[in-house]
Amino acid sequence: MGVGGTHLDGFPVLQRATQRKQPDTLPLPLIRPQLAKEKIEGCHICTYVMPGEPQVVLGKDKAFTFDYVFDMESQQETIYTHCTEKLIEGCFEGYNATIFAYGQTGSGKTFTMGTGFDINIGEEELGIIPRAINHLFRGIEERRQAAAEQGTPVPEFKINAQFLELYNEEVLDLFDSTRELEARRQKSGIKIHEDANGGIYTVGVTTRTVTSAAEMMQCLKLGALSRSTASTQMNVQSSRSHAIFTIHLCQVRVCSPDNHENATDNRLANNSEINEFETLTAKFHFVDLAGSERLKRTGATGDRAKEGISINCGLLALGNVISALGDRGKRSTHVPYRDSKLTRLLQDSLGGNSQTVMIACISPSDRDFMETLNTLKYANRARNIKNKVVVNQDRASQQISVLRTEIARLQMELMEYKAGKRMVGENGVEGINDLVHENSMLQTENNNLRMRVKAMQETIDAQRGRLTQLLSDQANQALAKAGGGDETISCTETTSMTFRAKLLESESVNESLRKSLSRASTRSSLFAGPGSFSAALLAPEKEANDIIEMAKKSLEKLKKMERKKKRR
Amino acid sequence: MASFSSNEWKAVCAKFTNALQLSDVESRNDPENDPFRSKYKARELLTEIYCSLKNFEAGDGEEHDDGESSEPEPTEEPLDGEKPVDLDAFSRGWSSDSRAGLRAARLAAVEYYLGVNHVDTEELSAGQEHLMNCMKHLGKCRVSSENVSLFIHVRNQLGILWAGRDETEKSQGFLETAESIYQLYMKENGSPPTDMTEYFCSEENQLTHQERTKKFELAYTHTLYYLAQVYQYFGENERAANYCYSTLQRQLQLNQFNPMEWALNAATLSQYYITKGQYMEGRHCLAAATVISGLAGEVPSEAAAQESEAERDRREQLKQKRSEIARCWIKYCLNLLRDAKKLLEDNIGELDTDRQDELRRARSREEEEEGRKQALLFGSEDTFDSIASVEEKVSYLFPLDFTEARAIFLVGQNYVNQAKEHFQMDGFVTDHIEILQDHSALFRALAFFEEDVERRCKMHKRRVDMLEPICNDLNSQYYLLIRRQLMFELAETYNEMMDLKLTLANRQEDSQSLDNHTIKKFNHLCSASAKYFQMFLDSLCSPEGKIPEHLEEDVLRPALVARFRVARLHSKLISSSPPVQLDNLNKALENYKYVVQYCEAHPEAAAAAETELELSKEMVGLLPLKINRLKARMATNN
Repeated sequence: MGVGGTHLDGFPVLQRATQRKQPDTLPLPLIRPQLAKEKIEGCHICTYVMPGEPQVVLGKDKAFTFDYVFDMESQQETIYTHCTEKLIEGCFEGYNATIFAYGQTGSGKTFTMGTGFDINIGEEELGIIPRAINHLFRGIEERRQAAAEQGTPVPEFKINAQFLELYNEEVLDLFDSTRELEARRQKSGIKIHEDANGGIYTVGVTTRTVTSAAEMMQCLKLGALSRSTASTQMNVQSSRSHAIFTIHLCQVRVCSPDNHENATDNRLANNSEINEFETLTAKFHFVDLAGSERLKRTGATGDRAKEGISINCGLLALGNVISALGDRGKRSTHVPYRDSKLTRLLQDSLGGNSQTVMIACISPSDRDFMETLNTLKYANRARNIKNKVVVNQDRASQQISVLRTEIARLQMELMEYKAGKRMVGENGVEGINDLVHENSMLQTENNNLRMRVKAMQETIDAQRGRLTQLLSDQANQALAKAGGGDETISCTETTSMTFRAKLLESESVNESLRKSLSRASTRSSLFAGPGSFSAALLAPEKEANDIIEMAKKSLEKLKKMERKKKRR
Repeated sequence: MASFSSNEWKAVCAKFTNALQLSDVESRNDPENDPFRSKYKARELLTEIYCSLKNFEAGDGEEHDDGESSEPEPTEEPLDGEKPVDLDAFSRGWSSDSRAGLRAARLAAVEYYLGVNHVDTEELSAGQEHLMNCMKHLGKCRVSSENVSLFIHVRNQLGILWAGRDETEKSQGFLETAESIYQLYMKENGSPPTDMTEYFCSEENQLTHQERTKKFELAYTHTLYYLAQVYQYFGENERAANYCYSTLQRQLQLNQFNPMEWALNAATLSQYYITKGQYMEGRHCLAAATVISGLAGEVPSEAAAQESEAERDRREQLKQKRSEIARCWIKYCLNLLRDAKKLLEDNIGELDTDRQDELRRARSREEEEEGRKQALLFGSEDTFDSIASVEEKVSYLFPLDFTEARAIFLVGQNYVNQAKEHFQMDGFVTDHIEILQDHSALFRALAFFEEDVERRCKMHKRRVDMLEPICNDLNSQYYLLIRRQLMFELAETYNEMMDLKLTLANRQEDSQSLDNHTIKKFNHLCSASAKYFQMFLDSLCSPEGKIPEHLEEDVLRPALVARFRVARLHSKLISSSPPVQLDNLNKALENYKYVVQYCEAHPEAAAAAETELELSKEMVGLLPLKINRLKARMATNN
């Protein structure tokens, strides 16, 4: 199984996901426009999108094909309709969804997601999350109105939001305003919990219940402000952590008649007097990942800051290296380490019926060529990754061998019915095949046949003796009664006729013996294989052939004699 | 240094110490929003040092060089590649005790620190430039105990830099050179080499030999570790595994490890050896993991955990990591049993006694000719014995009979219980179920060795008992894939039990007729198996209950096999009522037909279930006959 990342481009999220689930990940590259700074510094554009084709060409010859590509001039609106709209609609039907933004620092992840909150931002520049929120509340309103118009009970909606940040494997609550900025870096006490009913959930996280789009936007804005960003000489504003904004949608609605009977387990149906209600829940995660270069660095060498102190920390990732070594297709193994908190948080939203979109943000400038190449490579691989449900194979082989015998038996029956040898009338209970039983039965049959062959051989020997006797008698007669007349001839003729009849009979018996022998051998080889059993079977068959040969020869001799006599 | 006044030199040394302090210690306390504050400060200091070195030494340095050294200026190294190193490197270039040599080494060291500083602050190209400058300075010097450490360090850094850019070949070049330099140095010289930090400190602050060796060996351990990554990237897994092993062993020898991290790494490495079927090595890694993880100390008690957050965290961490090691042990036992089963089974999955005798003979032959030699050897003097005693608790040889298999099973089961203690259902559903699946698989493998059919049946019953409730309790939306796996396994287990019941019944009674109780039991198992296969098939349907027209590649084979098996099971059900028989046969036919028709509509699917398809085709041809016969009989009886 080709698991996505290696240690060197380790992208923790999808690794575990692909191991355990089957993410229907849809990677979509998004090329941001060149920045003024890049233009001033004379950076060239090194990406090219084939017109009318979802293909990005990087540099001269590195082409990547996707389901869709957003080129530099793509509007936020287009991006939204192509990758998010459908997912929001899915949420109303109870499906989880996840959108990732992946890419190097400064490739436009935050802008695309829309968590930057620039005050001067125009309507058309709104990112994915604000649009999704508007869409969600519009969808709720439409559904309520539709129900009201049709006179059916109005569906109830409950919407919660959570905003988490993952900083150095520590889960922080971005809605928690009680903690001071500095205190947030301490242990947050947030636990990720998994149970049989609810899947993954967090303990100790503020959950905001929201009733309007505006309210939710306000929550998002407050949370985004307390997110850890840093300014470095490379980037004025750089996200150094993963941010996960989660919308929980809970809906109670009247079952629609067509799916009412097939309500799956997650639709908890409630009987009421008139209408049946169902409860649907869905989670929608928006994940803004830290710059890919950061993910990579820690993957390769551990936390560098600590590395100088001790090699232990530098070796944090050794497990990742080792775990990439084994060929996990052959044997089942356990690999500790692979769980990052992010993976665990999103575990039940990746794969299954969930939909996952990965927006691979890239910069068009030649300066970022290497990073862009890596991002595209990763995105390209993401969709090919699949997981299989393990089906045990070895058991089936026995099943199959049993069935083969059964088929052979049925085929024989069929033949017998066609030959009219069997009549309907036995009890219909299907006989149960027992290998040992059938084997011994066949062996007895085989022995019987062998005995019959032996008996036949004896008869033929005796006949041959009689034939020689007859021949000598004949010769004598010929000598004694040279002009002996017709009487003797007709007498010999009668004798030879009888012989001929007998020979014919033995020939046909032999023929049928041969048939049943070969049938017995094919049947037994079905489960005995090329073992000693079938080898033993071959011997009598050969014997029978010999007898037939001999009988044929004697018959031939007899005929010759007859002809001679007639000529005389 | 003559050209520096001692005060000036002292100032340089102080700056250097300060820069290191800023970079290594204070940087960790930099605020979130200004994460490189100390690094930038350190960078300034380093740049200043670099300028002083250049200025002070530039003029007079060169004059004297010509007089002192008759050697010509050595050629420079290629710009960003690396060529293989040879003994030449030890004899060509300035000697390090020459003025020019010392000056070059100092400049190289400052360039090195500047390079690392830039890489740390995410300015990779600038970092690369500084590191290559360092290489250039070093290129003029011959390798000696004064500079060998720097030779290796700079290559390690360049190795990481290029690996990060996915230019692994370049990375490999630098790291392999570092490796050969180390090896040649140890062969040619071997004395504890000077550390770069010592270039800028006074005589009295020089490191002891022990400290020097430690630092140097540590740098080389890093080289090996990075090389492990490089080889893994190139798919040279065996080589990569060897480097991982060396890294771990060196950590242990140098006493530079965190017990829990080390133990987890060793446990993970065991899984590599297990996939290779090298159980002796796998066991050694696991035993070492168990022993070394013990060095991390006792798990704090629940009471202690309640009192302090730190203790609570430590408790969680230790419990989790020890459970992870236990899970690696489970896989060891499981794979050992399974591999033995594969060796011993005949073509219908039963114990082949001829093979058994053959393997027994082979084993005793091997025992006569001394045991196999162990390729790995972890441990320091004080841990060696304890590792061996853990190893003794479980065999690395394939079990050849029930007694041996049981011994391995029990060890595995013990680890199952240990792992379940931490990975409880409430909190770790996925992990908990994975452990249960392993437990079930252990029973399954053990059952193969059990000769008593009744007891074998009981083992399968245990599997059903542990998996069935969970399969039914899990939320079908969140745990879709896990449930599918469980359904399939339950279906197969019931099927197995059914077969065993039948064998048992046939043995007890010679006649074909089965008593009512047995028939009831048989039918129960048969329908249970069919039910779970059907459940699996239903889980593939759309929410509206429609059978998918196209089966995804990953469920294609399981789905076809499940169909085929459902068909089989329906034709096996025993009933004396002709209408029920008819119904069962029709259901069987329907499922066989599905397999045939699906493969007709999707020719590419045929390869996924070749045998099943072939047999289904035959059954589709034959079953109607049986059905018609039954119908005819029903008609005459009426």
